[in-house]
Amino acid sequence: MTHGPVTIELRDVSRWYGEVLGVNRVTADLRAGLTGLVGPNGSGKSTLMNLICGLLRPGRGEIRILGQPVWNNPELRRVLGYCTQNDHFYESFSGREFVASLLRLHGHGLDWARRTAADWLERVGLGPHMDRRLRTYSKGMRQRAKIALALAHQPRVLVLDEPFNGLDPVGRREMMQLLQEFAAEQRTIVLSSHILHEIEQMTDNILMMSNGYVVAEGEVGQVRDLLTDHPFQVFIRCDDPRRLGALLLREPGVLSVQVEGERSLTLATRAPDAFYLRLNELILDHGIDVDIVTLADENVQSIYRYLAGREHH
Amino acid sequence: MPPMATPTPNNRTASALLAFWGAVRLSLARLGRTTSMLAVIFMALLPLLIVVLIAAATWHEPIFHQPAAAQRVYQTILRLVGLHFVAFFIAYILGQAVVRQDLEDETLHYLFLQPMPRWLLFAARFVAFFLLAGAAVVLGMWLCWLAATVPWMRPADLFDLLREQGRLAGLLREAGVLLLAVLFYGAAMIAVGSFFRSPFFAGLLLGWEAGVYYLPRALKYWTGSHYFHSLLPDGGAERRLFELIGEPAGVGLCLTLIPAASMVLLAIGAAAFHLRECQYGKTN
Repeated sequence: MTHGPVTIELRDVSRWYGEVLGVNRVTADLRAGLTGLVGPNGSGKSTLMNLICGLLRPGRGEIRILGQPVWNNPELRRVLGYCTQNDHFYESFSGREFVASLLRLHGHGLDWARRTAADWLERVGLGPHMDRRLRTYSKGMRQRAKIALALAHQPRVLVLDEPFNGLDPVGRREMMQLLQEFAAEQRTIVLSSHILHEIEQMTDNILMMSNGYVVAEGEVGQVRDLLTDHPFQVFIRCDDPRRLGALLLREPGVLSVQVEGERSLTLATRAPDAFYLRLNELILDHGIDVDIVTLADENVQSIYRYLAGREHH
Repeated sequence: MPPMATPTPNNRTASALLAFWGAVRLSLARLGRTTSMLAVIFMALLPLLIVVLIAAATWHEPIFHQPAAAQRVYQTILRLVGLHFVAFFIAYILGQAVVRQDLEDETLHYLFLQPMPRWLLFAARFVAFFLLAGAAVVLGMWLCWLAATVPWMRPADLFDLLREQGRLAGLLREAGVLLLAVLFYGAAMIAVGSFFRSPFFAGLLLGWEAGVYYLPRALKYWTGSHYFHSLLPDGGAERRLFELIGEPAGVGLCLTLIPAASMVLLAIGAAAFHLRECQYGKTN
């Protein structure tokens, strides 16, 4: 659960890449504790995190952390840690050298930086490997090195973009535990993932994004209810839409059916999973030739894909 | 287990200096540990290589045993190769990397996430560039001079040449001019590298600077070469050979104009760095 005063304020934040939408009109207040940023790939999570950390400038709106603007505010970096999804490093550096050389930019001496880097690399499980060059690290080790760098200056606000990518199940559990300890100390952690159950293991509080918009905010259960209440529009193209429409209207999960022309129909349902199973049976039983079945609403489609995807993880 | 408290430096000035020095060290390591450093080393050793080749080609009738002839060869190498080629290309290779390296490697965010003003990060990158490029160019030319001089002279004559005949002061002055060239060309490359990836503009500048010999006199004043050659100790035949200078610019003017132009170019680079977003060609 998140609590306490607002740490990160997002006010009507938009960001476009030319004509491509990054995030649009995001307004949210994030408080101390752990908040999960969830959504399918390409939904704008990374863009929002880059905006929060001042790596991108909003085209519109305002972002504040601890009351201060984030863009070009170097002092704020003392209390902000960011583990990006980007997997590029100073490849010729060792793990310890990588973390220590960046920690030195906080204005501490070399000894402190090397000691602190070693402590945190040890803590993320890279102790035996800290003097190996980063180019020899596996994906999981690189992920751990990034997490160590983000945590090493012990920021009050920590932003992590898909931090468990590339980690094995043991590694995931260790990192989750570490982050939960970190969050327990009144720190604010924003954590993104496209896998909902990963976030659910750590927090109830989520911000769900889709196509650049925040589509839901609150506890995981509430968001699930919201999605369950939301009718999905399904478009079907087939050889006999009137007959199929009449059959579908008898199904309990189908709210409405609208026949469009000679070959297509659109229907509304609150239970797409069950609907798809039943549709297959009807097609086979009645010999209806179906060309296309798709969700009609792009926004909902991406959420649905995401929610459907979680079943596979 | 590390303590769970955000450490903050006590003394802000000392902390800022430590951070700056840390950024310089980081930049030195980043610029120094690339494959392009091999090209820099090759460039730096090119004048030495030329002397060795000349010595080998004239082995039966050595020209370096006469100090005057040796100095003439060295002066020609300094002006033609050292200034127009070695200093320029080392400044190009390392200067472009000052900003480009982190963009190409997609590592710029590591710097931007640190509690240092961007102009200070930029300054640290530039200091590292200047130390590396300056050392490579000057040491390369000094090695060239040593190769053209030392093997052919007795130690007493060498000492006499350096001290009594003022060659040491000449070498230091030449080193100063080479450093000014590194400063100016480096600043230009950094400014260009802040906006463009293409080497087209560097090629344009090289053509402009090397083409100084063929430019009408009025246009020569718009090249860096004119002022570098004006500052070099009189090379006698070399200067007349290329009819370069016409009217050499005064030392004061040279020492004002070159740093001033370099500062303007660096300011452009710093402004671009300050406003830069961390985008590596992906939308999210």
